[in-house]
Amino acid sequence: MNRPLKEPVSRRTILRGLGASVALPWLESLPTWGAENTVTAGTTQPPVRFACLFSGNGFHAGEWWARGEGQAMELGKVLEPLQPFREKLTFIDGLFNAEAKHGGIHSAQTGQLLSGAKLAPNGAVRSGTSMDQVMAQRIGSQTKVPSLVLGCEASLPNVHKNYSMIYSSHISWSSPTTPTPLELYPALAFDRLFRNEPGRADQSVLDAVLEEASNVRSQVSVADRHRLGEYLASVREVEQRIDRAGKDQRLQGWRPTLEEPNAPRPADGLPQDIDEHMRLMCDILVLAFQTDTTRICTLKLNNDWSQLRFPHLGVNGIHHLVSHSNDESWLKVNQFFVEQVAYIARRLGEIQEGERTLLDNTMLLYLSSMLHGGHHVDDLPAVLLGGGGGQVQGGRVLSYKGQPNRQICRLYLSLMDKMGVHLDRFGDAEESLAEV
Amino acid sequence: MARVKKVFCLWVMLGLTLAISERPVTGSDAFVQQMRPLIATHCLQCHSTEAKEGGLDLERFGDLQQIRADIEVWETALGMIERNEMPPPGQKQLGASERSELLNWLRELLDQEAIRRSGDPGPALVRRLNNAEYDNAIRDLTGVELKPARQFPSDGAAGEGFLNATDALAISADQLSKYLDAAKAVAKHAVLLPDGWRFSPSPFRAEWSTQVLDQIRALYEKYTNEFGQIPYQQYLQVTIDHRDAFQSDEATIIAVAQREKLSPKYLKMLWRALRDDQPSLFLNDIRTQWNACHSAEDVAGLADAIAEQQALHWHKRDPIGRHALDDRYVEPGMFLANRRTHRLAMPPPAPDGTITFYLSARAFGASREKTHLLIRGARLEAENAPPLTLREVLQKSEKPTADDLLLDGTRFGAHPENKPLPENDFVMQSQETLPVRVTADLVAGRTLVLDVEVDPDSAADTWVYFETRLAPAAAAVKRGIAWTDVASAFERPFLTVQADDATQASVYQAANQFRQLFPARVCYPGVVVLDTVVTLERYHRGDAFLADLLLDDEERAWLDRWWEELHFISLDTLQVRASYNTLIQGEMKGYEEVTEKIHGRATATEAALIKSETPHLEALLAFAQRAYRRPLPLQEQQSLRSLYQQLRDAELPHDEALRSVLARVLISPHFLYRLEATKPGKEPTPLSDLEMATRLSFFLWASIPDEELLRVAEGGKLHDPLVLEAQVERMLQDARSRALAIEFGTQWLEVRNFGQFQGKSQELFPDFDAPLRRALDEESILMFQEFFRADLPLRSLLDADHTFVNDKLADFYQLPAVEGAHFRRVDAVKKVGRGGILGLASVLAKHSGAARTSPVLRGNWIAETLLGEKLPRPPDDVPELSESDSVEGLTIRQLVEKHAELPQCAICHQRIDPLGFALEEFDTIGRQRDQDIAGRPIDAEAQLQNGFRFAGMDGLKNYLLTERKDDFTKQFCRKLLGYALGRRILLSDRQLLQEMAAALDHHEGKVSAAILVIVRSKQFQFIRGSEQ
Repeated sequence: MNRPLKEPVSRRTILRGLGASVALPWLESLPTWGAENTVTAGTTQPPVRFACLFSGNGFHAGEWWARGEGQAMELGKVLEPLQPFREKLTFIDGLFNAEAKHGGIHSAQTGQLLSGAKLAPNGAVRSGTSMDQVMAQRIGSQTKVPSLVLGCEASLPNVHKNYSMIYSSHISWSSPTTPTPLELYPALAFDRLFRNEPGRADQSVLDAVLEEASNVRSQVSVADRHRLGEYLASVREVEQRIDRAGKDQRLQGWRPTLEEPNAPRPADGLPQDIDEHMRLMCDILVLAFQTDTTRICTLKLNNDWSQLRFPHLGVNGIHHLVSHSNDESWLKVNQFFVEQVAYIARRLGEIQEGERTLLDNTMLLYLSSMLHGGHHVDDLPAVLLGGGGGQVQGGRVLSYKGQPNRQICRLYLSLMDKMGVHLDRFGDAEESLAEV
Repeated sequence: MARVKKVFCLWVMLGLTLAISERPVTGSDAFVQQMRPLIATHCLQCHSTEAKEGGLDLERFGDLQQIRADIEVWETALGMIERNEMPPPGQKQLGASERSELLNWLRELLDQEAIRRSGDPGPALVRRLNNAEYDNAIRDLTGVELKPARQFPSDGAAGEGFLNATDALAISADQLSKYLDAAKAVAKHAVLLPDGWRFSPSPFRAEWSTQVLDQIRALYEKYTNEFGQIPYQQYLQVTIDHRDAFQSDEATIIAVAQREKLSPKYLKMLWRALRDDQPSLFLNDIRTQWNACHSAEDVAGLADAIAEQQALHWHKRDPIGRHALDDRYVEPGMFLANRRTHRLAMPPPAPDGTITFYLSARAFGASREKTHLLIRGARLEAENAPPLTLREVLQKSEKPTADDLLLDGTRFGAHPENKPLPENDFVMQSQETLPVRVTADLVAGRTLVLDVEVDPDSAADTWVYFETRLAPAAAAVKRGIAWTDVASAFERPFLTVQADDATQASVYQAANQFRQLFPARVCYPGVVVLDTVVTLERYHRGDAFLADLLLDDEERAWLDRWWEELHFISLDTLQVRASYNTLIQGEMKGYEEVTEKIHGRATATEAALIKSETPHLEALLAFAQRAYRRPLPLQEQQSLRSLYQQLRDAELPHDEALRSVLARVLISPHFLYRLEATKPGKEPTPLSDLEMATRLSFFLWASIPDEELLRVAEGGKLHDPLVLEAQVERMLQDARSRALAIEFGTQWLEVRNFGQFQGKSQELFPDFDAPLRRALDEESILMFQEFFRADLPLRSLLDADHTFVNDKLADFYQLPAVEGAHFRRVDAVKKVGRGGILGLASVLAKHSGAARTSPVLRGNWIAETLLGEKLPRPPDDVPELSESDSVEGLTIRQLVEKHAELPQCAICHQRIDPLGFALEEFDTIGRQRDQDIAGRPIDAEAQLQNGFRFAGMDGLKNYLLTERKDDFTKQFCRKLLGYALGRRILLSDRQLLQEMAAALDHHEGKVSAAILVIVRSKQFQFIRGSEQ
């Protein structure tokens, strides 16, 4: 990268040191890059990608099911759009999050979906670092962008039933107190992936505020230090991004099938129609994986307690209210969401990476925060698509109903393992799911 | 008494809190002996240290001290027991006496704790500005609405449900990266000026120039017409209309000029010149004509006469390189010469094969009647052929008929006074326009050349204007002439004879008098020069006459400043120099003066640029001071300066370095965060006045303090209760309190940003479009703004008889029509179901379905949001509830009632549904109705669990204002305090809430009473100690 500004290395190093000394749980794991890299180092195999798609308020109570194996697998009506992918599909039911059974409905059932953490009530905001962000912090440095967190519905700005709706609006958490902001603007998501133009003065400017914030931090209360620590860490990470911009971080041996985006930057602003919005975000996800700009992506298609409407489906109601009706409209809405998953799977399946397709190298997890609109959280809906680089065998139904130890965090342990992030425990789980 | 006091003091010293907390009723003994066994029996089965159901361990509480240390657990427990949520169904229930015993103990305990902790400022408040605060702060810092937060991640709510709560204001690298982008984008809006900067809505230099140009042009337009001319007729008319008044008192001129929007300065000058009795060659006739003026027609004639003379006195100049030399656009057009050569290129022929042109002479001066013009050697020259005399050509041309008055051969060589005259010469009368017609074939491609001379025998006081032209009448005498009509460049239209130096000088002087009073143009209205290569200028300043004749001192100063800014911003002089240097290669004779001028101007700009660097840095420090809401210590000033220097050393130009440091200020934690210094220790300490100013402005304005508030704070006055009260009052009156209406008011009601609300079926409600939603948003905001600014009683939020509408909204509400899209207050709206919170269609629509009403949502919203009720968690697996308007012929109400029959649903629905039923009078987009979509009559009767009955909106309002007045007040206070403090309400705030309610009670409910209690409270004015 072209860096015209020369400055004393010693000062930079000191500042870096200051940033690094900020004791935040999610940062402690950051500097240990390399350890996990060995998984793919030196190989010519394409990397494994992970995406999590989410939709809120569950699905039609009677039509979320799968039976049988492989070609013979039968799918409930909600899942019909996934028919072509039956052999690459793992239907998982019976898993749950113990913490979602306490506290309120909706928000209190969503904020911990990917972490299993306890959510703080009374208008406080505290969850747990989500599995996608744990991975981003451990292996995200392998790509230009550690992880991409996308959304198609703005954060709900309320406290509902004693729980902040931030929980309804975020499944990705960079730290227990930091919901990862969702990028809603397709154009800005595109920029995040492909823009490489730090200003000439950016580094100096960031260094200056880093120094300043370090000074301030010593003057505030212990409790406040946390917030400023968060700021310092953010400044430091933006510096690193600038440092990394334009540098090829990839390991030797394998190159993505696409180096530059083959699609134009989407228009500025928010798309008017929800179907267009979702489609653009799906395209960006595919593009991010195809160019290997990131390997970890969360796409939150809507919020739990969602206020989206679907005039293009001829459905008049608001997503949340329709979810309580469990009728034909609700089914239509469900299928529309599943079509987004199917669209991504189809696009990934069309991209050949050596012997396999990009879909074969991906694990595409689709989740909701409840099984159906009645706030049922004892049996979370989950579908896994793709081969995870040959590590996941599709065409199966895995049911954990009535079994002990059916924490959904076990699923996350399994998935992280396949991504090269090996943890002994995560959330309320200490053991991965052997079957996945 | 004295003794008692002493004892009391002793108690205080020992700690009053200790004294209260040790009272026996809720002492440790009571807990250990009575409550602990009760809790063990009914709670520990699930909430033991081992089972820890729901993360709750009640077993660990061994004594009262431990309970106090973690009191929130018990606050929650009290609510659960009060709402009958605990013990849960199916578990061993509390007996009636046990229950009341437990509840009493808990309530007593919490009351005591509330008192003991009262005034705790709460967790310290380092918090990031939220998006609205960020946008408002940028607006107040820059003076322009840039709204960079549009593309930030959307804010979430925490605490009491507001967007300013610490917990919701996390930061991440993605967010910081957007802050950096936004800061750089804002910095691009800074318009650097010679002595500082200002901000523009645009980031583009060209548009900054345009903005300055617009200011300059606006001043031009104030006094001149589109051609940069003074509207003489208007001025003259005023002198006629007010002749008598002016005559008796010249001072009235100024007042009249101001009324007529004329320049007082020029009107006075004109008046005096017209009445001056000193003869002046070119003004004499005009004065005579003016004295005879009576009607508007006379005035028009006079204006024509002036215009006609102007055409002779002024003419367009040779533009090449000339604009750089002086600042006038037209130049004096009169040159005296004894003899002039005129040329006229022959135009294409008329259809009949002839060409007609005109020779025109007009004489001025006392002896003009007797003057002749000698036209000598008239010929048609060609480039490659010998010339033909005009005489020959006319002889060969078709002969004119007798009545044509055309020039013919007979005039050649003949002098009217029989003096000798060469055969190719002829004589013209002093006031004659002579048409000439020739056969085109003879003269094609040739140029008419003639030498014109006043007959040497004519009197010396005669001047003749001569021109050759292709049209019969002069165009130049028309009023409002376009520039191109003025005598063309290079013409020198005046001739005289026997012009000795003295005569010439006197003529020039008289002409000058005329020109000083009647300039043909006083400014160059376009400013922008079209052909910059030829004119060597991008902007032409030709307003010397305007400044001299029409502008007052202040206007002149502005004009000078704007021009200075224009050159500074556009850097036009540097560009002109560059293009001039490529045009003029090396030394070119005759252009030395131009070169010097052009180079001089560019050098001056460069000097101004360098000189401006110091004031720019000063402006930057002042900006940082506003952004940080406090004076900048020397060290911080140094650090900003040294970053600037570091960037300059790295060879960034001044402009870029400065903007980078500006961006750095905007991502500083001192700007992005509200930082308050904690002092060591375990006790709260008071905030500094400056910190309080910031709390105050973020509370009332959701933005940074303004200069006045900072000044008061810097003066150390803000802790003075009267000063504080005055500031609060001022701030509520200020337009910025709109932010309080939005961020507190509409956010509380959950209708914030209603313009963006997408929750309705467009198919069913096509009228519910974006303009209507924006109008509803505005109505909600204005309701709160009026509430705060007019200091209305709290009850008015429910029973106001006024609202705010524009034309669209009046129509939607079926109120009497109003005109225009602006909003105004209308009264007597209760009768159509409007006024107050419940009358807002935004509220009614927001808490409904997309296609149908929802008594459940509305009722739940009233219970939770307006009354602060806490409803139990719905049962698992709630049964279905259709979202369509009519199922199996049931109305929405019947559908909901059926749903609520289910025992697991009834607990809540019996509480909330009746409140919603009362609002069934309003459809899903908030219109009043008496039947539903299927045409069935509306049933808006409601009966509460306790048997209380009411009907419709009025009944509901009455219920809320009487039966639930205290709950509503309490909830309002809780929300307002939660917003003011940016955190959730703690047990330690309970007393303050009571004080707020009491203050409202004492002041007829006026909201200022509650606000003042807040800003004077320890919660608002103190900060916890760093070890607290």
